[in-house]
Amino acid sequence: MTKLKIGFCVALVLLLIVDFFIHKGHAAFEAESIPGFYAIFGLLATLLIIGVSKILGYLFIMKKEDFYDD
Amino acid sequence: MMIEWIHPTTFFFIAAFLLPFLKEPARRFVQWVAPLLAFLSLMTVTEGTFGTVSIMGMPVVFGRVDRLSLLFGYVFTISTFIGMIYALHVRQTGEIMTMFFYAGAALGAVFSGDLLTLFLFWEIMAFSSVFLVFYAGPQAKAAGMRYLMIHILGGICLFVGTTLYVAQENHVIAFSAIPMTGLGPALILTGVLINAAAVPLHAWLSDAYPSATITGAVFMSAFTTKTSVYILIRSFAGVEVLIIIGIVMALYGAIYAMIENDIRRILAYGIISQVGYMVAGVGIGSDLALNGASAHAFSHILYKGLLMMAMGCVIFMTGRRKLTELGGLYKSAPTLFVLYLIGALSIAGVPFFSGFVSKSMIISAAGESHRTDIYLLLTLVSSGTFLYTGLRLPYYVFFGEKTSGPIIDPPANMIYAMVLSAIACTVIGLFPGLLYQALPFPVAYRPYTVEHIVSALQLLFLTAAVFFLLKKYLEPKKSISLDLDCLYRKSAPLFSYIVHKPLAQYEGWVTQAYQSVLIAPAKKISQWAWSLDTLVVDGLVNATGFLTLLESRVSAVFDVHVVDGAVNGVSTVLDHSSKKLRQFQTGLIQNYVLAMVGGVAVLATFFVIQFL
Repeated sequence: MTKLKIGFCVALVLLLIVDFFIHKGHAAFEAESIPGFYAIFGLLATLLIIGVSKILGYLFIMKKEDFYDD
Repeated sequence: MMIEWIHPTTFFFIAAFLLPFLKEPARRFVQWVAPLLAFLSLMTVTEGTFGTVSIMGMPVVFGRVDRLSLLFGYVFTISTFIGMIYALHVRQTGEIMTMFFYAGAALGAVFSGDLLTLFLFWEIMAFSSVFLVFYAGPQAKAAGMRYLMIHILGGICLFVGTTLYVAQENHVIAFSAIPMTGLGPALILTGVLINAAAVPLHAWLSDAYPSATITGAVFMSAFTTKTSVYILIRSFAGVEVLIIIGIVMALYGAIYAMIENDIRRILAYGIISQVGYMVAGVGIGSDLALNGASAHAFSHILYKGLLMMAMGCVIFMTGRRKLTELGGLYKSAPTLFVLYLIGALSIAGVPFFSGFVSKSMIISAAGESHRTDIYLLLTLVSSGTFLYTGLRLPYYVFFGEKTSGPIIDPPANMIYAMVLSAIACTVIGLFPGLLYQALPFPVAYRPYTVEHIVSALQLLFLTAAVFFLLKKYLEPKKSISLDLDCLYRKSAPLFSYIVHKPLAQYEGWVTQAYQSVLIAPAKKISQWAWSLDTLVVDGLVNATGFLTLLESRVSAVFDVHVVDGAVNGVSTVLDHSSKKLRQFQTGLIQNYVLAMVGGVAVLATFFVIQFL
């Protein structure tokens, strides 16, 4: 398991380093050409989705399993 | 006249009608040969219009073959083939017939060239697919009825909309681009969006699909929503509101899939989310976007089928369907995990798998038309997609601390079907040109640039990192998700109050009025009719009866003396001669040999006399 973790981290670091040397020809908007933009975006996106689904889940969505049994 | 083309639906409907008359090896043979033949008939056809019939002066077209209908035809026949392999062990003939009717109707809708034919096949789809829910057993009956109710509503929208539209357009019933003017097109669009499971008209999907049979859910995840995507691409390209609807679907499905506990319901919400991409692509409406929507429908059918099959397999093996009751399956089913993973990497848009080459077309189309908001929101959902299908679901099914109880090995055909799907997902990912050359518009898009691969991998790596760091907060909970189907599931108490109080009162008044206005005069009339009946009608009937009786007596006399006499005579003669003949049959071989030798001797004598 630790080997897998190390491999994962090495790959991630490589992806970030490579990003500094890529020519961004197809950027849809300016921020996209910042190196590591998608790493940051992925981090925030995942946190946002987990946060929003947790909050909505506890407030409205999650019900007891016998909710529809009368 | 030469037959130009056999419509693929023909093979499916014939197969459905044949199945009940076939015994085991033949039945299985038909099951996989019919979709294969349908696929071959699509491979050999050239573009054009076939099977035009005139009904009441209107040209009805059963076979409009162009690039778009062919693309959906290919994927529908391929997925039927794979689905039928997955269902080879099913003994319930009715279920297989239902699958053939359902898939055949979906193909019929895709190749229909006019709105009437489309409506016809649309209804066959709804009424056949519901049986895939009913066959799951009595506990699924209610979900099936709710599914049917919503689809009847969608059918009514489509029918009324079509009628209004045809009247408005001077009786043109062609199934092509429909301009959004007036009530007719709006109703057609509503009907199509119900079938596409567009939020807020989506709850039937996440309600019914997880209730269907293991094999049925695989078929359902392929056809209904993707037929709607096809109609949207053909008729409603560039309708702006679809962008918003699509984005809402993509987000809504992803959030519910993160909360849900039922493994197939997670995948069902995944369908809503992925169809959202396609709907948004149709809304953008550029060539690239429409290509993207078509390509994504194609790869979605294959990878979602694979995921549904894998989770169906889990249910088959363990009898359990909730994340909270599953775990540790990797040890006993590593192959299943690998197959599921290929589906998950495809849906998540990992480079070199099918989702990557199709989904990114839609996202790039949003970028090209300078819709940065759509571009970022769809990218955000990509991260969510990996989170719920690629990480949360497989982690708690195949790993985790819990165990899944005793396991039944799945039949080999289930595994073979998944292997086929996994190969298809990988081939599309590795050689996107195969898919691109079949798309409705020429493709200049290149998915594999270093920039694109690196950005996709960064996004997915960070998603995975966050998941494993926050894992302990993401444990599934024993719960069900409240969705908009509660509007018609929880409204029963309110509904029954309305029925009992004001409606019962009203019914009382109506009954009273009915009694004095209709029933009393009706009684008078019926009394008069009764007397007419006894005197005239009965008299006639009795007279006829008497004559019949008389005639039968006469014929009886004839029967006994003449016919019976002849029959008895014949049988007496037969009886007599058989008694005589029986004496020849002694059962002793030497007697027969002797008789034969005697016969040969007689013949020899006969020949000798001739030559003399």
